[in-house]
Amino acid sequence: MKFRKNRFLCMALCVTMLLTACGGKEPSESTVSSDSGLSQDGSSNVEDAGNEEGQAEGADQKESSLWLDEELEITILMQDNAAQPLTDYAPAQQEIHRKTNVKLVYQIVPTSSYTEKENVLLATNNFPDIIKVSAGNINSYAGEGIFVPLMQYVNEETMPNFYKLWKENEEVLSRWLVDGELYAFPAIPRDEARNGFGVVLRTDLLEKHDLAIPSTFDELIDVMARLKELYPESIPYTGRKGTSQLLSTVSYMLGSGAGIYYDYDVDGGRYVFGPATEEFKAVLTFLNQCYERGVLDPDFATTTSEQLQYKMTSGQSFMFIDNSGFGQNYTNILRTQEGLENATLQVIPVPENSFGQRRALAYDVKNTGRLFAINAKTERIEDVIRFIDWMYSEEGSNISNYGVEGVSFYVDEDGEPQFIEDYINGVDDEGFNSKYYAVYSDLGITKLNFSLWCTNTKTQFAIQKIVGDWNDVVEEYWEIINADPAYVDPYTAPSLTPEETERVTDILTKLTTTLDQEYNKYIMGVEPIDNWDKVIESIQADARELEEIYNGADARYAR
Amino acid sequence: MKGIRGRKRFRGSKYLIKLFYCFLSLLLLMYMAMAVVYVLASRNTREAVFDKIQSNLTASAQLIDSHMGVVQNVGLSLYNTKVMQSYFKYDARMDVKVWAEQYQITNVIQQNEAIFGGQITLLYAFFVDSDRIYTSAGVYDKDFFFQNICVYAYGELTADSIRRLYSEAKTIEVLPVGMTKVRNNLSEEMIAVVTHLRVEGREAMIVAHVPASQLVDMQKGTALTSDSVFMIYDRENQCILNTREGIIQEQSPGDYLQARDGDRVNGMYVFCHKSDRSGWKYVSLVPVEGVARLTNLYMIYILLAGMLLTIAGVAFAFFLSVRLYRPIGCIVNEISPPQTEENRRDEMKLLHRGVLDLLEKEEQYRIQFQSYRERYIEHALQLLVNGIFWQHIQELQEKLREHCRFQGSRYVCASVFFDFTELFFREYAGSDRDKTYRMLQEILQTLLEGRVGIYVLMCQGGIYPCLIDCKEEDPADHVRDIFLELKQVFQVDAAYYKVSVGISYPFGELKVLQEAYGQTLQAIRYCTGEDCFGISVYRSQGRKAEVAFSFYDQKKIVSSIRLGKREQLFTVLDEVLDMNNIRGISQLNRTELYRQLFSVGQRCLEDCEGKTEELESETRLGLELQQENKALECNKARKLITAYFEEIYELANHKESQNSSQQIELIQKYIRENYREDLSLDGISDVFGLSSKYLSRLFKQKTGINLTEYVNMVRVGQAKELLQNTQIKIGDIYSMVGIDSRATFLRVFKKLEGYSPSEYRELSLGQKERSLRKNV
Repeated sequence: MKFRKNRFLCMALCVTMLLTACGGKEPSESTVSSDSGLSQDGSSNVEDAGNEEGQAEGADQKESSLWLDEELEITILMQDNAAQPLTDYAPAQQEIHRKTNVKLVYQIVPTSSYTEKENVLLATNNFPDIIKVSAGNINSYAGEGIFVPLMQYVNEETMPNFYKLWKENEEVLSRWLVDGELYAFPAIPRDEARNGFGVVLRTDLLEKHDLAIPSTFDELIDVMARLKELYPESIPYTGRKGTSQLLSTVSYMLGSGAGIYYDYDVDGGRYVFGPATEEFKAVLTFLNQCYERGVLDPDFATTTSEQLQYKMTSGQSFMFIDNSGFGQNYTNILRTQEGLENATLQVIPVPENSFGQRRALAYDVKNTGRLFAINAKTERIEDVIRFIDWMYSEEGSNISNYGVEGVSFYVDEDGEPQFIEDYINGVDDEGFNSKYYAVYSDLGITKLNFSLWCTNTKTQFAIQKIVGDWNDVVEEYWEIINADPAYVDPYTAPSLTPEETERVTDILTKLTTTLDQEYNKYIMGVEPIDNWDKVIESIQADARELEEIYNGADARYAR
Repeated sequence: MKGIRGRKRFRGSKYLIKLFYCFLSLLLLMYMAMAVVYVLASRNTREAVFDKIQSNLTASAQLIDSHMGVVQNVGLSLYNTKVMQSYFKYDARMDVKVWAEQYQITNVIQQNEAIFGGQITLLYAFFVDSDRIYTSAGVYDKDFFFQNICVYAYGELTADSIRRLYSEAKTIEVLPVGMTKVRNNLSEEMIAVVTHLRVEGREAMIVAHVPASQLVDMQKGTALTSDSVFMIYDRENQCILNTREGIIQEQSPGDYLQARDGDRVNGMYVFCHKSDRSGWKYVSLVPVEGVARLTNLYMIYILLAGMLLTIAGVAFAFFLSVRLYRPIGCIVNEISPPQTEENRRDEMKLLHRGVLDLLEKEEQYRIQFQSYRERYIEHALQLLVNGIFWQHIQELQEKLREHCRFQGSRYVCASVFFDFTELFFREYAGSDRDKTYRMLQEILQTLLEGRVGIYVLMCQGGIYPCLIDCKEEDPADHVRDIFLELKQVFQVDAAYYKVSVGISYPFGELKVLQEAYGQTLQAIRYCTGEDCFGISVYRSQGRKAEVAFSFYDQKKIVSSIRLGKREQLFTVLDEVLDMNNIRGISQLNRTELYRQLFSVGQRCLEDCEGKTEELESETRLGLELQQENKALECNKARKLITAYFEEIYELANHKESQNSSQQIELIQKYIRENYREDLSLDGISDVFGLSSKYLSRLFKQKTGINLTEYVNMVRVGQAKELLQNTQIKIGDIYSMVGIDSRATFLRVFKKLEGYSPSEYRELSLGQKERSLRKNV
């Protein structure tokens, strides 16, 4: 007995020794680890912090419709926004993490370089799990297999929530199909109020100087020129994002379109490539006039969102033609400044263009135009799909649009989410042009963030009302907008075959390269407008082809 | 219980402890080895750790170098693009055409920002004197930009502000880390890399912001300890990055720069790496505790291993020593069982002693065994020679083989007969003769056993039958030759004896030894008498029957004469004679028999003392026997022989009896006279000069009772007288008769008389009274 015990003891000691020896080696091995990538390291730090938070608080909040046993981390390439800056792992994402054990890691790219970044990443096939992708890139890369084909999941069993929304909006959403296959999940608008590009100007100044609200674009130029005279240091008409945005915002109103667009007024409605038409000259003429008369910002080609806001809110500029909703925010900011307490930036009804038309394109309330594609190299695709479906559910939508239940919102008797006033009031809006943007940024919510069934206006109105920003200006704004008959809904684009897509991409690239170099010259008067015919001639063939493709595709979908 | 016993056992045994210490000493070896390892390791570990830190520092330095290298090149490569070359011009120098293309600058900056997005957070270009800043988003107003878009810790970057930080204006400056807020969004420590340009005579800058966290992460990834501090100095020894806050003011960077690798400054080990590429100095400060912790970790493991090994070693030593000791312990316990309370026993000594004892005993037993074997053989052969059946022939044969080196399966019997001369009898008296006989036996045995397997017996004095081992078919010559060699030896004392040797036929079975012996005797008869030494081999006369007179019979006759057993003597004689008559042996054999008997008788006479002249019967018998041709008639022979032996008997015993009867009378008289004294057998035999044994035997023989009994009788008789005729008390009587204890007196009296002394007195008194009354 004694000896057996001894033997056993000895063996146990030996084994222990061996184990400790092995264990002791670890410190030396773990020291030399190379830095693999910024994002990983960065995210791991955050992850550590987040995990602790998540674990501590998430213990009692697990009754959600989705819970993944094994934590899933999804990286998303997100486009930043000047008005509503994005942050990684904001409260809404934290809540998502707590509820579903899915951690969203954003790779935030400034809005200006987003397209470039997106192109580079897609071209090198080096993009994160989910990428906010443009329609064009969907078409281009559809056949390359870098995105996960999604139609296989669009059914009642796999994605009940998305499937419901899909069925409701099939007409609109099916435009995103390429050859019958879906390559990106669209962000679907939820109860969006309808507005669009509009002409927003300083109505108070017009009043002050006894100037009538212009009803035609020519009148508009005159009014602005007059203001320029009155305020020589000013830059009456400015914009953002350079020439392309400038053209996008005014082209339709002026009777043409900035690229390939559906014109309701041409031949009963067909696709037209704007810059290749005569009517486009009217656009160029308008802009040229503005430029020549000193109304248009000389730096129009290199404007930025921040500069737009700055100029509008400092009183340096008086008009912009863009998302008319901006006016409200700018007004609020203007009014905080000394001497500008009565300043009002308000939308006016769409002026008449040189063709006698009053027309403007509303935002697509059926379609946000935001698409999220899934990287084919993603692991645990099934879990990602489940998560995305959850994002389309009411629960997911509520969190991604309203924040943290019990903290920033609650669900009322009708089942509708409502913001918690105290929280909203507590958000610091320093540096933001409106409270709601501050809230959006703080919580990480709404359409411009990662929300797949998203709101913008609904939440905006709610917050405005809470904070008291819902003033007469806002009221007036919606009155005008809603009453303006000039607004038409955008046309649902047809889906193209891969060959068509490829061709379209080629043509568009060629055309864009050519045209980009021309616009500024004509706007700035380097070239006389009449010379645009030359340009038209040079792009004629391609433009026609483009139109044919689109019209042909459109014809396929007999409506 | 077992444990306690075991411990006691442990403590109580010296050898076990010695063993244990022996094994423990191995541990010493191990300790020495470990000490060496420790010393080497502690030196090497520190070296190793330092090396590791240094190499990690170099690796991270190179990484950062390349990282920063890329960033530093961005500015220049941006500037060298066609777009920048064409359209990046000072405001006043721009014409409309150039102005129209300004968006391209935005585009190219956008592209670069996207491509180098991994390294650069923000990239922008501007003319120092201009209000316009070109970024990837567009063109910003400079004030607006530096207040809203990029809030840099060091404020707006102008040539002056940069020069304020550095003395020499270089093309590419790397500004130290400063908190930077980009687009109201992220606030991060950033390093600004500024590329100075002169574009058409105007100063311009291209600035790239690199998040410091990237560099810190790169360094941290290779740090051995989490609390090491990392610093980067550029060529002018300006600190670009410092992961420990506040240090820049506290300590002048020079301290760290001057230090050599591994130096200790302020409780930190300093490691430097100077990059060849960028000329930057990378400094890593590792807190002493950190390094100590790392080195100590190794040390602790070594120590831990040591401790565990010690424990294991002790356990093993104990275990092994106990195991090894067990058999020794068992043996020692067997040899000398442990006593309680005995301190440290020295097992080795005990073992040694025990083994010596065993060896001694073994030697003793061996010697005893030898003697027993000899006696066994002697006894067995004696019986066989006398014709008595011996059951364990096999054993005997084995013993002969072992002891006497008998190898063969056949035997030969040879008898050596010493015919002693008168001279011998004169010179050698009684006991000397016996000694001589025995000596002769030994001499024969010694002389002969060298040559052949032999065993020499003794029959009476002078006849030595030998059992000889023979291998050949016809050993006679061989044996004869052997005995011939004896001739020389015995020739020396030819005056004392004549030697005759008789050799029998070879035989295979020991049980016929008797016959063989007979043959030898017969053979001796035929030894010629010229020489003092004669050998003759038995030749079978083809007689029908042999003489049946065994050695045993011989001995019986001799002993009966000696012991005075008359009846036995004559019984044997009659038996022998009858036996031979019944068997119907031949005349010649009978004569042989008578001759043998005659010689036996003669030998007895020789032994007797006081034989002066030849007996009459002896003479007559001798005469008869000497007649060769005339055969002696049976009855006559019987009469003659009987008479012969009677005379011998009388002669031998008469004297003795005469002598002895006289002696007994004297003793009895002595006892009767000295009954009062102390009379013990020893005392009496001393007085008469006899051995106590002889006296006791003789007395018994003559009187029929023991001496002691006779003494008691005498004493009791006297006591009876006293009891009857006197009034002396019993307590005084016994001492008066020479008995020393009352108890003995009472016992002896009662035994001889049947009454106790007091009863006897009463009885005798009563009797007296009765007789008196009767008389009256």
